[in-house]
Order: sequence, then C-alpha cells, then structure tokens
Amino acid sequence: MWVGTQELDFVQACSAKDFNANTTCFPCAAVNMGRYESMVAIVNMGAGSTFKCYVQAHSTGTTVTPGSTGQLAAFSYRYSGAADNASTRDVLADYTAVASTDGTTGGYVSFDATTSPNCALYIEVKANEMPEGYPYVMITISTAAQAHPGAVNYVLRPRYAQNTMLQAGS
Amino acid sequence: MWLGTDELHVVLLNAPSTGGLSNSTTETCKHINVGRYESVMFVLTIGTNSVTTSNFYLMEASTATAAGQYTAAYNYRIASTAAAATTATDTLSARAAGVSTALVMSSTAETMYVIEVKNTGLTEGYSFVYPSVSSAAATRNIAAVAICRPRYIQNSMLVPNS
Repeated sequence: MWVGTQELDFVQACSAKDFNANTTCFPCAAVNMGRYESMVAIVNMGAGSTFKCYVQAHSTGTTVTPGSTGQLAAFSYRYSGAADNASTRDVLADYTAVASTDGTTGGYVSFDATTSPNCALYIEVKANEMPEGYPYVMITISTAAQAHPGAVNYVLRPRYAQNTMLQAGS
Repeated sequence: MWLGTDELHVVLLNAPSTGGLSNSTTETCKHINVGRYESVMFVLTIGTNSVTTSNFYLMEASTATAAGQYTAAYNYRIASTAAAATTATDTLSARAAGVSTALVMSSTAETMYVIEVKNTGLTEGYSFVYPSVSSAAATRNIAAVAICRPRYIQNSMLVPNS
C-alpha cells in the first residue's frame, strides 16, 4: 500500500462536515511543509455557496485565520468536474497560479458551488515557495450565505523519498 | 502538479452532501476501471454525522454501469484516532485484509478509511470497482476520492518528482 507511506503521506485535514452559512474562515489542520516537497490538498465540496480557499502559512502548527498572522502562501490550483458527471469527474482544468500575499484581499481561490456543485479543488503548495520562517501550512475555507458540506484531505510528497525509485509499485 | 497526471490519476467519486447519507440508505460511488491501473486507493472520509455503524462493500462489476458483487480482494487501513476538525490525522492503523462480506465501519465520527485494491485481486471479467456504504440507522456524511496508479507509467521513473 503506497498511501500513508514514505512515498506519499496522507492527512485527514477536515472530515466531511456541514459548514455553516457565512463561515468566516474555517481552518483545516496544519502540516509542516519543511518535511515535504509539495502538498496537494483535495478540497471535496458538495453543493452550496460560493466558497473561498486560502492557503495560510504560519510559524507554528497552530491554526489561524488568514492574514491574522503569518502570510498567505503562493499556490496553484486545478479543479475537476462534478462527482456525478462520468465525463468530467476525472478531468482537471488547467493550472491557475495564485501569488503570495501578506494581506487578506488576495491570495485565495473562489469557487461557485451553486452553479457548479459537487466538484473538487486540487490545491498544490510547494515547500520552496513557502514564505521564509513560515513552514506550517493549512487550508482555510470561507462560505457565503448558504450552508455548505465539504471535506479536505492532504496528499503529501515527502522531501526525502527513500524507496520509490527502487521499488516501483511498492 | 503530480496528482491528476499519468503518474497518479485522481478521480472524484463522491461529494459530501448536506446532512449526509440518509437513514437506511446506500451511498454508491462511481465505477473505476481497475483494468487500467496497477492499483487504486479509495479514500473515504467519514464526517460528523455518523452515529451508528455502517456497512462497507467493495463491489466489482463487469461494466461501468452494472450492479456488482462483493468478491474483490482488498486491503484497508483506518485513521487510528478520530480527528477533531482542526487536528490532522495522519496515523493509519496496520494494514488489514478486507472481508468478502460487509466491513463494518466504526461509529466514530471523523474517521478516514484508505482502501486499496489491486487489479490482480479482481475476479476475471469484473474489472469495474466501486465502493458502497449503507447506513444502518442514522445519517453519515461521506466524501470519497480515488487515487490511481496507472498500469503503464509513462514518465515517473525517468522524471522523478515530475
């Protein structure tokens, strides 16, 4: 089994839950990117509001609201079609890059899950693009005026993979 | 991004729904053709609405739309502790072999199941696989994705970290 190993680590950052309407910023769990080369956060959102995802960099593993301390990290994202659409559920849109910012006016992706429900966002954060001194990263989610279900998992590629090149298919 | 490429394919199988899976109903995820992959990891994130146990079945079918049978061999691991919403859970239990009858999912909320099926574990002629969860007597909120390792990797051995 290659998930949950030194080839790929897997973190449950936020289990499937119902976000309340007008959630200002819900912080998912933080991970130390100093240990990893890159991370892909799978933001599996159902139907509901237009939600925003921030990638917050912080100096400790304490979860915080975006921009309150630390910085918003640079990231790129792609998104898939709806889970119930056989043609597009495994088709990802092209990359979009989001720059780092130390404020709260930028540095996020906004997705309209009212007109495009049941899609997933895939957010990639690279360790070498993290702000210096802020190795911990967490996804935070804001919702609009409607309640919204969602789940977040992190898939992480360790910085020092020990066995993948010699044991393909391990 | 290395997820969603020919190195590791990702498929969104089930988006969580408000209120979760209803009482005494079955959530059936979409079919994956494991014949195209060396192995597939199904990651099921069970949310806050779970109150009682549920039954999990890994179904294998002959077509992308057919109803299946639960005879596929698989292994699974479980996040060892329930995760508070803002606490990372990255500790998995030891690998265990799946059962041909129902795998009883814990009533613990906020638990993650990682389920692996290899194409060699399928019954001949039944290459389409999908997870199925039936709720016993309460609602459960379920999110599911599949991370697939292609059978014929094109570039990962020559371009590490691509």
